[in-house]
Amino acid sequence: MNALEIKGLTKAYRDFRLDSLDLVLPSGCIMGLIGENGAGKSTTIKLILNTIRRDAGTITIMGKDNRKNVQLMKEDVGIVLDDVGFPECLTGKQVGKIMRNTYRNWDNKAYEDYLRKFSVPMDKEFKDFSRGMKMKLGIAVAMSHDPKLLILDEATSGLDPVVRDEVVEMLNEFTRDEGHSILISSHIVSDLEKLCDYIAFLHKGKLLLCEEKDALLEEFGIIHCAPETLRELDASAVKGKKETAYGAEAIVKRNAVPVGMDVSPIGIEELFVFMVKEGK
Amino acid sequence: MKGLLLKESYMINKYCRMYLVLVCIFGAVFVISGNEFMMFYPVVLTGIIPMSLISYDERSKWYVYAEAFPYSRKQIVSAKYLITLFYLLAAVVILAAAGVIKSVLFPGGGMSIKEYLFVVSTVPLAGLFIPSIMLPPVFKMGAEKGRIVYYVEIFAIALIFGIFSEFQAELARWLAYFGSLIVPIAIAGMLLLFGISWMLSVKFYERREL
Repeated sequence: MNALEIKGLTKAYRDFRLDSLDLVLPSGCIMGLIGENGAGKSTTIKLILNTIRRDAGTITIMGKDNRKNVQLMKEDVGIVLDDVGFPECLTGKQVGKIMRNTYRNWDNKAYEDYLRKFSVPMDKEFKDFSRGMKMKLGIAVAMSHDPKLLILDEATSGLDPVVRDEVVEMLNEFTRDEGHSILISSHIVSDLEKLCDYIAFLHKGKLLLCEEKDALLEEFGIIHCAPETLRELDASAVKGKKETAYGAEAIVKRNAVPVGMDVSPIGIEELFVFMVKEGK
Repeated sequence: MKGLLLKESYMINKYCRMYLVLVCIFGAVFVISGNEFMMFYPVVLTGIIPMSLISYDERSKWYVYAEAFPYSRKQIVSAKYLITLFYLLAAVVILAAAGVIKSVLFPGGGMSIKEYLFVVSTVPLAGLFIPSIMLPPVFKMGAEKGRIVYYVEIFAIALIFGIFSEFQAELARWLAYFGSLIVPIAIAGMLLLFGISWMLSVKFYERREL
């Protein structure tokens, strides 16, 4: 069963349109949703959570329509939004008590362990937390009720590199259980590159691609050559290019360029930037 | 729902303690002065509590974050209405206690038991009126825009009262016609208004995009 399936999801605003988005996140996998600010990542997550109305499309979470039995569905989903919005007067301890009376599967010991691990104080008020601490509290809450699916919207932004690494490690640990899956959106591509099995590129409301990360890295490469050499290549082989006075750089499909051409490995971030610029 | 009520109670304890202190102060002034206005004013004030809580929720973006948890929109709205009732009940209990203290300290002075019961039973009506007309627009449009609609509502009500004041004599005749039934009718009417307000708030909030 897929953890998340999105088909033909459309939402139009006056100045932005999320256009017929299709995504499939298989159970036990981590999918990274990459896009520039305003690409439609948060809109997608809001539609998954049903906080805004869609114009078209379907969303199923663990095989169930996300508009039916919403409360039951949220028992199995842990969510961290880019703004962790607990009331400012609450302490970590009070948040724990509220959540104990909110989730059926709330594990207070696990919650307190996460807070200790993240060095989040129990008795300090939320308003006195740094952005990183707020995010860590949000992550601790999202993971302490035995969720099957984690949805994280820009959850690693605002965290220092050491904590980001801890979070990435913890999320990796979470998906060791085959029934656990993660959808994580970010514009910090390096985190997603470390973490994800699947990568989806979103640009101006459109899905540029959605593939297995390893397949993507195998499929594409980068070449550095003279502009004339680049122009001789089959246009369908080139996914993005950059020409300067000193030469040309291009993202190419490895199997569509002449044998013997020197193709270097490419990172996800480079691939995304080239594809977005090509799309402009 | 229990989680939501607990969250509201933590917020009230932090931000709205002063309201209960005010109820106690006004209760004490009532004991000394015997002025019934001292019983109505703090209760009207406590009716503003749910709006304060919603403003704090909006400031911290809780109203969006709450969507991450297994709460329905109906529960989120209901928690605000229930907390209003709990708080009003607490205020009325304090004021009723003030009345008992007054009758012990100053026996035979001021109001009769019947008049006193009339005041205690009508005091909560004053507290229910403001949240009843203010909460639906706030749930529909948020605290800031909703407050503007509330001022428009208050203006409209004042206008209606102004028009009715032209017919004071007829109004007095109507009230006399209902006689002792006027208090139960007023209570029932206010509870009906509170119920309609709750239903509208649920409907508006369920449709709102956050």
